[in-house]
Amino acid sequence: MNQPVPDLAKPYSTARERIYATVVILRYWQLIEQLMKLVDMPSDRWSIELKDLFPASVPGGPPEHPQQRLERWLGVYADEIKIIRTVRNQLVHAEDVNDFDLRGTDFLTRVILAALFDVLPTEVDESWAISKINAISHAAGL
Amino acid sequence: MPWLSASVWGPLVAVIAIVILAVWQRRWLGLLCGRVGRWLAAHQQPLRRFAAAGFFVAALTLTLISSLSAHLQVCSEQIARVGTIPAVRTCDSMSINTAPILILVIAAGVCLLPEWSVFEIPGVLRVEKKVEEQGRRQEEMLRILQQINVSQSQNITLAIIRSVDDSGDKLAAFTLRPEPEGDQ
Repeated sequence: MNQPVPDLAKPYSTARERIYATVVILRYWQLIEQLMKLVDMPSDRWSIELKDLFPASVPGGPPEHPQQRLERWLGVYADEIKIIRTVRNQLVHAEDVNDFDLRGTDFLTRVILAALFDVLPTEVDESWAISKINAISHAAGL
Repeated sequence: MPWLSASVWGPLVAVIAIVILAVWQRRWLGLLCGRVGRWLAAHQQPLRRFAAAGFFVAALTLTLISSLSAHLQVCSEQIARVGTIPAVRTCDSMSINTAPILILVIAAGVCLLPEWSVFEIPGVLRVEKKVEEQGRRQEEMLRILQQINVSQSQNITLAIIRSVDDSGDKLAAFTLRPEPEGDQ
């Protein structure tokens, strides 16, 4: 599941490409915010539909409730989530974010979301994030 | 009368105006080339104060000489009420409201103007130089904010580099995947 690190120093070739990267990061953050709310939901209140959105266990490991998986995820990737939140805030407040930080944040976000949902980082994109946001909203009523 | 004629006061006022502009505005000093210009620009504030002091001393000196001697009198023609001569010349010493003294006092005030934050005539007028000071404070705040932003941006970049480097280890920790043997 390791993904080769892209060339973070490569500047965006067009303004459109940069804006799209910004939009995608904001979308990823929307999903992360949903997950942060979900972790506070007691495990007995999780519906089957909601549980099915997450892997049942780590590869080759014992079954794990998604709420516990989310807790571990937030603990392991706390630094990355802090970085993503900082960059997201800078983008929202129209502060200057350089291309390196934007690419790096995009990469980190895809890596941590891929780890949580046990998919390849290359599968994580805007449409994937939207589908997860909608599915969680529907299943959890967030 | 020489003291009241434009031929004397015109050049004097022009010289005073040039001095005021030169000591007040840095960009005027920048017009002077070379070392002299740089020195004047660097010593703008003391020069301004020195010019103001000079104008005050000149005003005081004129007033004293005019009051204590027969020189530097302000003269004017007046219609005679008696006698056969239609007009007589009367001379008086300079006071604060005579043109030369007023010009020198105003020139001194203008030189000190950048250092004033409040000008007040009690009960009549009060002018506070708040806008300029607030503007300066805002510029200072913006400069500090920019420094903080640059520092924060550098910190974020470093954190991203560190996290990207650690992404493999973090993934292994999250999936509880044991480290492959011999991979050291």
